[in-house]
Amino acid sequence: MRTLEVLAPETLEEALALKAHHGTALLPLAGGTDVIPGIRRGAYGAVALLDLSRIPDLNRIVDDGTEIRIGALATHADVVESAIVGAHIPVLSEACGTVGSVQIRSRGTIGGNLCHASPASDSVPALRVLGSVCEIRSSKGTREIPVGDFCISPGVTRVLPADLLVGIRVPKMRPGSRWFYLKLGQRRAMAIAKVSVAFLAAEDGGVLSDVRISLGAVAPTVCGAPRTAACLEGKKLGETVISEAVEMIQTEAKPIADIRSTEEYRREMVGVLLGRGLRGFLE
Amino acid sequence: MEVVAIKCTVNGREHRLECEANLTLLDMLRESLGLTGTKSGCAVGECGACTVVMNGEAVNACLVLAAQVDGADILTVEGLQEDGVLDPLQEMFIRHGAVQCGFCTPGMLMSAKALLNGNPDPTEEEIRVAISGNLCRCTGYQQIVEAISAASAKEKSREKKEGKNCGW
Repeated sequence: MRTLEVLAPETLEEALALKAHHGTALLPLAGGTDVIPGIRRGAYGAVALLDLSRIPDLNRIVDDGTEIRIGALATHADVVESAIVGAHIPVLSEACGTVGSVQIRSRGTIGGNLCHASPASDSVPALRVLGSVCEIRSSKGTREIPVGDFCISPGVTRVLPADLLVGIRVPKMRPGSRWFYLKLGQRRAMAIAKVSVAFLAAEDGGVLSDVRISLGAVAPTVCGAPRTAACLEGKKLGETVISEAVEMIQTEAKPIADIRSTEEYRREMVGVLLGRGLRGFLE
Repeated sequence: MEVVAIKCTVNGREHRLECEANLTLLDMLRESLGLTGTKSGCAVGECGACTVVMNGEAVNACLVLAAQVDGADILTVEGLQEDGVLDPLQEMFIRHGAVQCGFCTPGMLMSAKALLNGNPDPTEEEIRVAISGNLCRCTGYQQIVEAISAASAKEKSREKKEGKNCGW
């Protein structure tokens, strides 16, 4: 396996200084669940690794009042096991619990998953419906990018050569919110999504408002379904409304065919998952 | 190739090693320490054959760089027995016929060990989730699930016999 060098800074400042100096020649390494197979495939060429795992507190999950702040190096297991996440942003626990296997969840990080920018990510659809914001640091300062704008194409994000993603700020869900994360893969464990749907809305007397839908694996990045969300806005959930929404999302989603599935199957299934999730609210 | 100095504990024994920076934990265990019980399967984190327990958590050793192991506590299949006495998991794998070709067994045992460490009385569903990152092409998994279940029950009765207050 090729790599030339591993730099393991002990502080964030040191890491940012190294990144400012070396830029793209320095590939951040967190849990390694994507980076190490990538190195083995020769996907990155001759890069040095910037091991972030020694930096203290970069994996902390903190309740900031109206928001939960999740350090970029929090693992999927940290997120699933966090009582704070479970209490205030359960749709993220649900999504992170479907990632890979126990072994992958105990190493793979939430920041790494975002930076990998896979359209089939499990955490990103959930973070997106929650209206989360990425905190990006460089030696020059901090900037913020909504999760919905963070990924540009598979593997490409708005993180610049001197930047590091250091955390994600996630607004708490309102009490009584309706939500689900449903994923369809080849099997339950270790499967990359063929299609996934994250859903979040407020509900009052059965009437939905502030409807948010994110879709995984049906476009080059995790994307929204604004027309379908608008069609559910202000509606009282019932079979007719659900059928309309299912039909709309099947025309709104623009999936492709690839190794994991066909365009037709994905289009059909994105509707099935939305329908399944919405019908779950009627029970 | 850059060399990194690593200090870590493997099966209760402290090791100081100088490793090439691109070495994985799997290669470190098998090649540097001669602990070949941990198997190399897919080498990309899909099959679970290389599962070891690192700081209490099941991890794929093929996805961990040795450089990230500095200061860590590692348990491999070789560390399950104590003074020749098998771990209850190993005994139950034998008794329940949970081993056929044996290639997945070390990884299965270590995933099960990590599970029982954190959850001594798992449900069948919890057992199945815990080993869902470990592929077995022989047994059909049923005997493995039964063995893990029996090991947890056995641990309970042993603790009871010894009169320990184990809080279950």
